[in-house]
Amino acid sequence: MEKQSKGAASELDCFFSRPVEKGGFQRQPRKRMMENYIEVRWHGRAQQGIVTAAKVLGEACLRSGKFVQAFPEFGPERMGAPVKAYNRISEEPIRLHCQVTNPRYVLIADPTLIGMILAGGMESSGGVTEGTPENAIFIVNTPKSPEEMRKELGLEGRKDVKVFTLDAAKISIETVGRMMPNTPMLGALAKATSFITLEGLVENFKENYSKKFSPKVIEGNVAAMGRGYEEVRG
Amino acid sequence: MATLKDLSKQQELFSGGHRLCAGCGIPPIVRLVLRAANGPVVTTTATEYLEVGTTIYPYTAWRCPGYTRPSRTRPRP
Amino acid sequence: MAITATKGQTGLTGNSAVAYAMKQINPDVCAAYPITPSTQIVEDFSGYVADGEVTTELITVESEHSAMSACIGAAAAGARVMTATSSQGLALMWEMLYIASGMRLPIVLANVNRALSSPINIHCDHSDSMGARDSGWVQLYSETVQEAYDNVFMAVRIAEHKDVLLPAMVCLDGFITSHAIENISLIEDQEVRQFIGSYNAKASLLDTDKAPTFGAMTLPDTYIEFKRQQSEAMTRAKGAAIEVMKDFGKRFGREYGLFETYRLEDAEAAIVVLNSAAGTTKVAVDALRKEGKKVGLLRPRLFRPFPWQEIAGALKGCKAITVLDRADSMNAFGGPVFSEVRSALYDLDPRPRVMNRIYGLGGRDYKVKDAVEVFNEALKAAETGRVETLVKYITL
Repeated sequence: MEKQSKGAASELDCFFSRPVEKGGFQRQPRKRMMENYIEVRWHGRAQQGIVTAAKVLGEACLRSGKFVQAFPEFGPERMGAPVKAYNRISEEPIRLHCQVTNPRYVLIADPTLIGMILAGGMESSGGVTEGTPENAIFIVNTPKSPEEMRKELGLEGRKDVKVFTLDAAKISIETVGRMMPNTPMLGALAKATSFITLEGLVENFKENYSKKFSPKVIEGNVAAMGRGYEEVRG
Repeated sequence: MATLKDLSKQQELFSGGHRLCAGCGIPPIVRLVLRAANGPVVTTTATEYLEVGTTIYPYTAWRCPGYTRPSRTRPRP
Repeated sequence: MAITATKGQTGLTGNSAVAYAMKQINPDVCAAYPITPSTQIVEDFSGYVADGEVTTELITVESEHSAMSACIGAAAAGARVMTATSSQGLALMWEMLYIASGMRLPIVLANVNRALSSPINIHCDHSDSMGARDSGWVQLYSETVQEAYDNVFMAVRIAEHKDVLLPAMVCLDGFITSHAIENISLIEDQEVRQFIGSYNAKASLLDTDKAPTFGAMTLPDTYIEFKRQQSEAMTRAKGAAIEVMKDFGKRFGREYGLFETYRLEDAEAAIVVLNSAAGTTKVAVDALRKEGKKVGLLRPRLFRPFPWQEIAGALKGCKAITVLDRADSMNAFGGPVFSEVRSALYDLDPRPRVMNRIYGLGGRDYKVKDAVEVFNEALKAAETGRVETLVKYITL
């Protein structure tokens, strides 16, 4: 065979005669070395739209020039099963591809998940407060007050943690016409944090979903975001 | 319906010289099928003795394009 | 699905991005038998077919074996053919994978990496595509959504390259890449068409004048010559890949190579890892570099053909190398990437210490701290010249 007739020695010479990196591409280190990103975790039950909420949040941040990741955690996908979704948002390309385990922002679309330690074997299964840092921000869909929820979440001792509440279920029934807590919660997130604005969310939603949904659905969701923004307490 | 005599006047797409056994029943069947087919013909066969005995590289008994597939792609008894 | 881009950027999951690339390629035939986590590729693409955005003949089949069979038949007829699968689907295609490559049909397959049963698991590892590594398919691996998208176009060009004519597989990580929305820059349809060009098969099953036979019987007097030709085509695929990647970089500004290196120039310890875990590893590299530790990364992109000389060239300065495998060869001597990399480094003088760590099987998370631990162990081996454990499982 020709390949062999050239002789093994000459083939091996390439180690020393060829420039290093030949055939490879050298990725330059990024300018800012700090990994600087926002991490969000969404808790809900299948069909409450949290995977979509993470998607919409990601798209809205992307539209404002950020780098984003939005990904769900998949398990048994029956209706009502506990599900989680995640966002990472950064000024720079995101290289991390592991699970979000220490989110600063936690959104709970279904308060019945509080206090449940979920089995199921996923990496980050466990309570809704698991892994949250000292300056965590919780936003809970509930008619109860932030003080009550802080107690239910078991966060009384953690002074720097902020808890916000809104009755996203009620808002969604009044605006969208069905129980979809995800959209009002996006509005609440805009109010409770600074990394996304209500305008940014609304404009992105109108632009990306006008073809998919009827004007009535768009209006309902926009109204839901607005009311979530207005009615969030904490 | 065409008679056997009519069919015998059709083009011959399956040549002799293949390596199936003398007296084997498959070649006359194939020959008849190919004669009965009107228009351009492409054959496909699942791996068995017809394919093995007629396409031994670099020869082929087929005067039409042929494609042989692994036996798993044919229905099994 | 309407896709809106803002300042040239849009957010797509890996699956949607691959489906969009397929739409832009507009293959003649696509065989569809969806399987998690690659389902969305076929789902999106069948939407494009239904909406008349492509002229592709979509063949819905009854199994992956049939999907690959349909691809082979169509490709033998001279069509540009694509399909997508994962895990058990690729395993069921196994018999046909060899036929596709043996017939030298440049089919392009998107494989969304998923673990193999049993026990059942739908999450990411590389057991599926690693099982097909000797099937004669070109294999390209992707770290991000953007790279998966770009690789689809490059795979078409490499597979159809006149010096190659082999099928190609684009691999991306199940869920981690396939289901994550990330920023991605899309290429204009017109530019895609210019880049991939048109495909003119050398022989067509439908050519009744030349009447070719596909899949002829070969006896011991000719079979080995066919295999030698195929092997040489695979060897040439490396040159073709370099050519195609260079052209891609020139046209679209995104640079790719046979592999990617990160801070490897003066590294004493390095990790070699495929796909999305490389991104997480880069974060660990930066963190350790800040502490003054000389660590780096090499991420193979082209795994078949395996660019062993180039990879050995790039790693020759390292004292210790840990190869991370997201699949086990079950040979009690490490995973598939380890075997290849270690073998490639055998002739180096001095020969670096090479270890293997099996990680992340069945979707087990691989975190920055895991990479840091691996690096620290490798640095110790670099310092002492001793390897304590050659092969072991991590992320347990």
